[in-house]
Amino acid sequence: MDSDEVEQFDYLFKIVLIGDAGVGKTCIVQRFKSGLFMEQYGSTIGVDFTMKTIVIDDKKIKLQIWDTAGQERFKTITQSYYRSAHAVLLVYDITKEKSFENIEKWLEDVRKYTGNNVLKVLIGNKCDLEQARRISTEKAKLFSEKYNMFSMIEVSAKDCCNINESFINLTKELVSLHSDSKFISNDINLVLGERERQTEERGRYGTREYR
Amino acid sequence: MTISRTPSPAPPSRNSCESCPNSPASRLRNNYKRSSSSPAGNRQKRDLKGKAILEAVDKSDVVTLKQLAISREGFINNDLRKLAWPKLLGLSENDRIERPSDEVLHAHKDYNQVVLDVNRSVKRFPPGMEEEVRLSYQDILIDVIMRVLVNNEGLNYYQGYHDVCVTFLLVVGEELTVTLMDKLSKSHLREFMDVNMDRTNHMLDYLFPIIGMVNSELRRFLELSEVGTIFALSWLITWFGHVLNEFSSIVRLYDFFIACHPLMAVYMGAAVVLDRKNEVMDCQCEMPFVHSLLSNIPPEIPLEKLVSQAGLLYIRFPPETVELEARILLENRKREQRERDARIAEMKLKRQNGSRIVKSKSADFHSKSDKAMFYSVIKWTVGGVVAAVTVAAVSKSFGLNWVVW
Repeated sequence: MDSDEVEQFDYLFKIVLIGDAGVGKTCIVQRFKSGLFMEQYGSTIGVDFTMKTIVIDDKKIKLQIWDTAGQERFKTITQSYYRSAHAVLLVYDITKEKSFENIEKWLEDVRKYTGNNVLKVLIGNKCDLEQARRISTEKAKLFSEKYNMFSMIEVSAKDCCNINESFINLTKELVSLHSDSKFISNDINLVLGERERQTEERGRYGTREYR
Repeated sequence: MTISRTPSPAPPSRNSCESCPNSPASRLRNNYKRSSSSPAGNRQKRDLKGKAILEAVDKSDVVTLKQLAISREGFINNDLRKLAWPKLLGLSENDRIERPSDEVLHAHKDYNQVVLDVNRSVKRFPPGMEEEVRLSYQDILIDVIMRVLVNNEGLNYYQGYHDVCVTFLLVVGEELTVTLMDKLSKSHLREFMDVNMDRTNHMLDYLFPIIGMVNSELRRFLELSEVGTIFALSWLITWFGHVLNEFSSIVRLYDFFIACHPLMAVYMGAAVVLDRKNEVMDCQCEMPFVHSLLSNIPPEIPLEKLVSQAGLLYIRFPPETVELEARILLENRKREQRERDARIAEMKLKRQNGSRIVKSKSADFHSKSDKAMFYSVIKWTVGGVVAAVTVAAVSKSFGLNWVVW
């Protein structure tokens, strides 16, 4: 990511992925980001960040994607990243019952730490492993309806099945929800304004240099 | 998906994993010169340092070993590390931990998480390693981790612990890794292995104050960006094992961290951030940008320079001088958490009762757990013994002109 470049964009959305360890959150993000799949990404420790710009109907949309650690003990840390999220992807592994059961616990955290308007998407990963499936599509669909989620989709980061679709559908919905709101870019301007002021300050004070 | 647990061939030693079992110090001393490949001057210094390391190992001279671990290039190579690390931690050859049965190891509450993380740790093995060999190493890695956890009931596994264990396993082999990790898990890594991450988070509270002592503008910038300290979490709990690509850099840092105070990884983090101050300040002052800049450590970092800067930071601003500021940050976090909890409770009640006025209950800050945490940190800072030895070792290492070149 080029941090120097202040890119122009029409929308900026923050998306957070949560779910049990090993369900494939990092694989999903990396597949979407780079189109690549690696069997072995190593555990996420804390939070990883990815940025991807997509164009939908001539609108340039920046997605900030936060990929979180799945182990229970990291929850206290990752929760602070839900706060300003526009959407949360709750990921489970269709071959691991426990990861689906735990979605309820993850939802509880979403309820606690995000605004009411956050968009929730239920994602069943590893649908390439059909023979090992433990969670039926119907069960997951019913669950997502019960909890008022925007959508439920089964994906395979390995086969690149439905990965782009799930992000694009989600983004379209976010755009339609926020179409008459400019609050997102305003936020950025505010921060940039602050930085300019700070740059002036820097010139005035000088800096104690570290040898 | 579990790794096959069928009897596996003993992992052959190769490259960085090379470790001659029980090789006597004397044999190493004779072979020593052959292992060097850099210019003559440096080779000579390495030879001298190698001899000094072996002497200190022979005499079990922990203070000298600390100085040698901290100073340039640490213990130099993995054969020396295999001899020096156990001595540095005060272990004797008789220290062995019996292996419980498979049933006991597999019944542990953290077993599944360990298997999951070890299965995904491929990146931590040398790139040229054959798959069969790597798989047998991964089997052993699971065993090693489980043995330490079973041996210490109060310790909890965290994602990243496997990054530390694999580093030791590749250098010293199975049995020594168990004894080294058993010791470290009760000392340097102890805070990370609590039931929650509160004390780990509080260690990270030292990062910005240390940075601020050197460059207040940089601290202000970081705080303004609201980046938090999570970018440094894996640095701390894996001793940079999770983020550095070069195995030789990781083991060199392990020399340094084993020899020093548990907070030294935070001082190292501060040195890394300070070294990149221009990049950081040129970055958009926003959490995502600063977070991704800082969490990716460039491959060409000047490691030895940063080690000595971390050491100097420690001498100039020892933990007890930073503690108050870290404590303030902890209190701020607690206050924010209380306010957030109160807001959540209020919202919930509103939703339930349709009531508008709900007085928020603020938790007592000086709860038992807060106090316990505070005192355990005090333990490091005024407990003195470890800290004093570290200061002496750090100071002396930088003063030894034959090791600093």
